[in-house]
Amino acid sequence: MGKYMKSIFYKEFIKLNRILLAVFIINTAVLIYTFFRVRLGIMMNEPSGIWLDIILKNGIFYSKVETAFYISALLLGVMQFYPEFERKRFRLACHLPINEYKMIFYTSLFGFFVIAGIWIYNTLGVVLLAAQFFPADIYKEIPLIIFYWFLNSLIIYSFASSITLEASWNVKLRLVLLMAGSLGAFKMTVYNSNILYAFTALIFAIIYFFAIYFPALRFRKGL
Amino acid sequence: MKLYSKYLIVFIAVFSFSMIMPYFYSLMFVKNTDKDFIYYSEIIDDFAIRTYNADRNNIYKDKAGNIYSEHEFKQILPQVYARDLSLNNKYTEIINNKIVSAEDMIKYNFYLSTTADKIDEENIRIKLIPIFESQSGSASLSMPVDLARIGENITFINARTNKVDTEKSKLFTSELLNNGFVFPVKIFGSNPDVRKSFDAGIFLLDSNNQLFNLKMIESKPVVEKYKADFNNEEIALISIKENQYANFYGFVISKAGNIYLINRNSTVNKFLIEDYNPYKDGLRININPLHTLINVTKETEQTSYLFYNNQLIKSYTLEIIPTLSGARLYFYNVLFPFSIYGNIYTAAEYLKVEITTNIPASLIFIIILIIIYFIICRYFKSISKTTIIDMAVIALSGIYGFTALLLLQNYKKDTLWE
Amino acid sequence: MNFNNVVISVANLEHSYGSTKVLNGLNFTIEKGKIFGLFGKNGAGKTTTINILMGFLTPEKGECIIYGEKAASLSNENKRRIGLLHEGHISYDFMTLEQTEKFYKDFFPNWESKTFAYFMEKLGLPKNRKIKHMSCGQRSQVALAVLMAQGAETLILDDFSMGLDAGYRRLFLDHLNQFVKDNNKTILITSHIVQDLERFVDEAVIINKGHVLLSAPLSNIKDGIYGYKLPLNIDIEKFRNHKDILDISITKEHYEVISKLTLEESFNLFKDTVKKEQIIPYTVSFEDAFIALTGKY
Repeated sequence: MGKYMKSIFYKEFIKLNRILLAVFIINTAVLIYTFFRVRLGIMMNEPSGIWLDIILKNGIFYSKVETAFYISALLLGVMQFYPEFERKRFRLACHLPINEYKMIFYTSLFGFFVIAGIWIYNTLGVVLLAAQFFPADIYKEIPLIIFYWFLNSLIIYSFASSITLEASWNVKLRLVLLMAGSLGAFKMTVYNSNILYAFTALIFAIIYFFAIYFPALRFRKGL
Repeated sequence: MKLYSKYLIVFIAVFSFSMIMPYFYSLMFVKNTDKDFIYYSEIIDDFAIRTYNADRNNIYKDKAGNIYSEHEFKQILPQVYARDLSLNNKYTEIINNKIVSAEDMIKYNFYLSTTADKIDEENIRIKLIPIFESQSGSASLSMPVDLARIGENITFINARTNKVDTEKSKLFTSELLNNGFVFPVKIFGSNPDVRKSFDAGIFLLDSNNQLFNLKMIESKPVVEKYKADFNNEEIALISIKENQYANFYGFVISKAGNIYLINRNSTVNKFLIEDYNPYKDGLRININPLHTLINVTKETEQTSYLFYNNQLIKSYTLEIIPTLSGARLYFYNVLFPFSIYGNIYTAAEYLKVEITTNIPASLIFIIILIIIYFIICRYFKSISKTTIIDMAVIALSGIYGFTALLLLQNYKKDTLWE
Repeated sequence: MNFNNVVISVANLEHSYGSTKVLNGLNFTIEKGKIFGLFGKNGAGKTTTINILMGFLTPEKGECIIYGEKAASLSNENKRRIGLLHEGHISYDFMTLEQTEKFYKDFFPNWESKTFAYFMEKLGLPKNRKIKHMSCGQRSQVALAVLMAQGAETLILDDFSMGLDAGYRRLFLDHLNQFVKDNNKTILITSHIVQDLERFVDEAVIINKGHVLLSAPLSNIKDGIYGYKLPLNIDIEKFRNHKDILDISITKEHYEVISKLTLEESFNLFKDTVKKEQIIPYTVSFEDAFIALTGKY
């Protein structure tokens, strides 16, 4: 762990503790809702018919989890960086005796870990609930789908945080035009898809993750 | 790092724009192109085409160029319009020395089709399927309580309990083994739809490329080994569609583009097609009492192959007018040096990058963009050491990089942009 | 000047916003242990200078050197030596007092817990009080406590008085005074309330339209500037554009005239308008001198 990473994480955690709670509640609520929805479907219909429907139509019966995931990422990006943008509070972090590139990286890394946490939580939640009703052939495909949601969430988080941190409204608008097009680039709607696609999506998400440096360094050097 | 961060944004923008701009261009400028249909007329002994003019009105003609009215067109294609013709008492039973009643023409007229996407869809589909009671005795079948996992063996999973039915699984697996089946299953096909009066079962290709049919009759497995010689060809698709009047169950497509009809009598018929790529082209097969017509649709052309008794007699190729053509297509190729779009199914091209087909014109346009960019920089007095890098970016990405860099320009010359 | 003692050096600073030139070749240096006030009217270039010094702005020309390094790229070591007070006393106001100390302690190995505790005791608030639930004045105390406790050798305080009432302004400066004098700290301070700093700074730089108008020890700023009170029943306007008249203000009871003229010289100038005994000299304040030098608007 970097020398000051823990301290930066401490600050971010204090800043975001209510948001983290909200995110946890939203995702848990959606998981519970999904469980009961699926259970009702299975009870009211012939289960083999439901299975077949999922198989033939690539049914993502837990799609609300995707929505919750993206909302969480958006909320996190905005709420993590709005306090930094407001009153130029980001300057406080810029003057800390830490390499500023590391400071920016650690700040975003906190967001990354939160999103990764949501990813693991949702994957476990959906797989566990799916295992109650579906065979392994179906639920073992779920992690890859949710992995795509994780990558998209990272992109949404990076987008939201970059736009929020950017100090100039003029540039904010331009960044929206420049970056918004990639938000839905790696939409996955089928099971058992080509793993190379996931790899490409991963590379892109990693690249996108570092977009925060643009507004952050402009903040640091430009205003 | 500040420089890198700027070009990171440019990279992201280039990626976004290369998906969005071509899409919006197509949306704005695409022309509707209704599908052309090619048939074969036994009456005129030639291919008959139903096409459209610019006003989207039907045009009926033959390969020789003769134009027909709608009524005349229907009369030369009794296999297509049997119902219409018989309703109007225009149907003639003797067609090219063959006697086929209207009733038979309607009954024994079959259409089978597939596309590249469907083949990929099948390949990635989760390998769980229902095995229906083959002869239910009802108009439609009932959904079984279990699904069968096809792979290293046959495993039935009861959906109500989410548990394996080991007895049934063992029974079906053994029956296949007893008939010479060698696991694992390479590929299989079935029709998992209950809306049919009987089930042809599943067709499985074993490790030795042998084709087997597995049905369930009165809860017992019935296995039939097919006399099918695929010559070690790799099979791309087994497609099954039951029809009580057909003497076949479906077809097999090899990766090399050969088509095999799966007959009811445990044999297959091969249809030799010259140029069919199952991973790119569309396929439509019409089997009727007069002939078999196979249509292969590519991006820019459609070819029809006429078969009598599985022998290729003749073929005809019709050009397809793409949705973008003429000047619109020209400008598309000039404007967009490449475009990106996702194709989630295919193993080979998961993220398609299409390069322009008019590279010289595209390069000239890129040079123009570089010059324009330089002029803009001069006008706004923002030439710096990074302008060279910007121009290199435009050289590599064309209008996408140009647009991104313009959006990142500091027009007001405030120090926000240093 | 002992160049070994120079902590902050600003040389030939030029900067524009768009087509508006804000800094036109600014130069000044600050030696170790000095308390340096940067003064100027709104729009003079104060905030721009401070932003460049803090490293948040890259100047078009010129440079700012702090402890031998460029202000825009200070090493971590030097960042530790410099305490920044940002305009408006910005802080992590989502933190409590306790959390604030815990956070900053990790970054400053020489963190002075006693100092921080002293300020917190003075503040008289519970440790778990969030900064956002404090008044402006209380926040300024917290900001100062952090600066003092981090053990910074040099403090750059950008408009410390923003949002503070007279009481808190005085308190802030009292605290600052105590710690600065005891520990030989170097300070660069700005405030839009000029008179606050009269009792605090050693030296002043007055900037106007991006230039240094005057740079001198505070005691010398008022040299050659005199103040006179004149009765209200005279025609003062005819003197307004006189080359030696720097400023004329009106109060309830008299005109206050600030000029470069000695008493004798002023008698000569006003002799036709007012009687000698009606010209009452008074000691000009630093604010008077500042307005006289920079003009009202």
